[in-house]
Amino acid sequence: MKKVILGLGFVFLCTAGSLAAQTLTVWDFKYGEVTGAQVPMKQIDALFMKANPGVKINHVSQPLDPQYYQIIQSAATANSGPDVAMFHPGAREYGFDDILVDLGPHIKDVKGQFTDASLEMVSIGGKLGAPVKLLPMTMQGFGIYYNKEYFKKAGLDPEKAPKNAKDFLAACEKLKAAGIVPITSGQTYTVNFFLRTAVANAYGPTVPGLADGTQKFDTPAFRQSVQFLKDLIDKGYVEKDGFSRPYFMDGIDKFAAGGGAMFVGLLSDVGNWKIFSDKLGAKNVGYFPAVNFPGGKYQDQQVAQGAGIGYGVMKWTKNEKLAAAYVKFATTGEGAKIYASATGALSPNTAAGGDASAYPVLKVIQGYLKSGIAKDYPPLFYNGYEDDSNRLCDQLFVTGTMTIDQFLTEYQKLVTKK
Amino acid sequence: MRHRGLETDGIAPYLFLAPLLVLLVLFILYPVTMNLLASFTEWKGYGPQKWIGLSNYEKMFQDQAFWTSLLNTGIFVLYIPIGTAFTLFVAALMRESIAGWKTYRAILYIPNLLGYVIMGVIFSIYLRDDGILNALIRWVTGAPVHFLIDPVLAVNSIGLILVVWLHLGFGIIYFLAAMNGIEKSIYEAAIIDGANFWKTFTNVTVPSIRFAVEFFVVFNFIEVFARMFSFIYTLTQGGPGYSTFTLEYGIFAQGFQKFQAGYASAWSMVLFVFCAVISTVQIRLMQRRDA
Repeated sequence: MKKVILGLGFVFLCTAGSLAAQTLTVWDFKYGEVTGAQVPMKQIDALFMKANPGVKINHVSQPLDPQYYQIIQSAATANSGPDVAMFHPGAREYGFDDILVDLGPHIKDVKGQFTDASLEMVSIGGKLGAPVKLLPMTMQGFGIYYNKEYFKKAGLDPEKAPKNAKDFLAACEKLKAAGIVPITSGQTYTVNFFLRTAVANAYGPTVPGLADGTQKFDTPAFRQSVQFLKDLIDKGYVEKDGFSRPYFMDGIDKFAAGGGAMFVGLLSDVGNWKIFSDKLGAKNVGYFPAVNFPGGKYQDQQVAQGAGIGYGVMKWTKNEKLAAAYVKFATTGEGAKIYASATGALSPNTAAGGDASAYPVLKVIQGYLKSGIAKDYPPLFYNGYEDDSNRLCDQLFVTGTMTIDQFLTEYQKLVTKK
Repeated sequence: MRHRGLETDGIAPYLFLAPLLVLLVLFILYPVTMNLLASFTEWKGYGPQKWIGLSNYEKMFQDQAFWTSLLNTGIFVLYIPIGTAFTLFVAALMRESIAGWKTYRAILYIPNLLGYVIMGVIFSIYLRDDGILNALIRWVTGAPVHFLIDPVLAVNSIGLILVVWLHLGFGIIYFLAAMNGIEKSIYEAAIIDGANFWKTFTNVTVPSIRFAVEFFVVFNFIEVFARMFSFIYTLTQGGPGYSTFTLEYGIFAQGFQKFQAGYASAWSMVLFVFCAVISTVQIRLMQRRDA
């Protein structure tokens, strides 16, 4: 009898031990932002652990570009790694779809909370109805922020954004004459993001055609925008010093510290409305989504990615159900609200909302998001497209070793490159 | 001449060689063979491989980035004679026991202790248009020098910093050690014959340490072909455009940014051929010395 009791006790201890040791490992490229994204993520983890006693979240900060996806690649080679990992939706996600779990069966109850644009982007191939491999935490987009105080100093109306090409050029001239850097820059991303806003103006709802071949980068409107940007650089309106300075975070920090009048920034994550408003003053930040060119059919189009970053569950996890529960927890309900309010990220979860009362510029952005959205084009292509296109942009805009005609030809060729 | 073999030497030599052979097969022959096979496949770096024959090589030879990477590597190679001559000259100067030479030698060796990643990051800050070096240049000339955004300056900055300056400390110590092996009487005879520093340098020092110079040149070739990645990655990331893009950087970009491991393997085979040729030359040089 003694032996039986001892044996049962041993079995109980072993079972209890294995239950207590249920650890969920999360890999994340935002967790390293100690005073930024990490703060709400820790809150979300704590809430999840409270709601799921006996579960421990091992949240691991990984470096972002380009190491992050190499680490994921290594994990895939070993068929072992985190239970949950953060990804960029679009080409990045689709490239790794063979190691991500189809979340469909796990998210039936919350799927309706997400915008169609975000669900489309996290569905494989960007097709609604295809397997959903991520749940989005943010939506993303690009636009032009401006410092109203500097506009005032240069004799410009701070409440009137210079949205067309003529007004934009005039504003740059006045700002430069007043001794203010018209456009603060950072490496090639300033050019890259400007082109993304220009494509929205030139192609609007027909942007997906650039991927399926029904549209090409040869329209007069796109050529106008390329020529316009080249002129801005040649005339010294775009700060040339910035081309040897990293956009993330030096370029962003420079604008936030009052280092220039305008900046091509992001809507979520970093370099966004909240960061600039907190640093420059909430009432001091203006915004417009793009320069409207004479040939651009789609005025005031806001370029947007339905989903900016998201969490997925890895196929090798032994805790698929729990991992999916974590992904849902972080992207819906209280989790989504905590992340959005702390970081300034725009949530694709319609239930998370966004309070614009303290940030006038957020109200402006929300207005543009409602009036007309154009899809962002790089996520439509392939892994590494952004690097290839940045090198082309360097050759035209930074080094001047390429003509506009050559650039447009090569830019089109990139679409079919693999 | 007696032929060596199992019958004459017995099994003992082979047993002694076995551990090294096993290591060579595991860590050299196997990876190289697998890389060669991968270069004929379409592969993401994990998961299934699809045999596509010579397609990766056809694509590589049509890829402008590949030819640009070879051209850039060629530019860096041109810095090898400059770096070698300069290092030899500085070492010879130090051998003359100029005041404070031990301090100079220590200072010049510091970059070698820091490593390429740290040096790349440091120079990426120094050489920026709004960096400390340009602050000085602006103060003197009123305009910055675009070290990192002018393609010609960018590639030559890397050549000068890495091939000439970063190898200077190691080269000096290596050449000084070799120079210490030269008989003092040869120098004394040269001085009696009226040879000045330059004549002693060209007619005594350099010929006497020829094998050390040959090794340094081969070492530099290997550095240029196969060890520049970390410096370029942290300094320019192969840019602006493709102006500092090298074979090594191409392998990284194809394999780890675009996840085309099969295509990256084809680039790797080209690098392998270059390194094999350099190693063969080095072995031949060593054999000549031993002869």
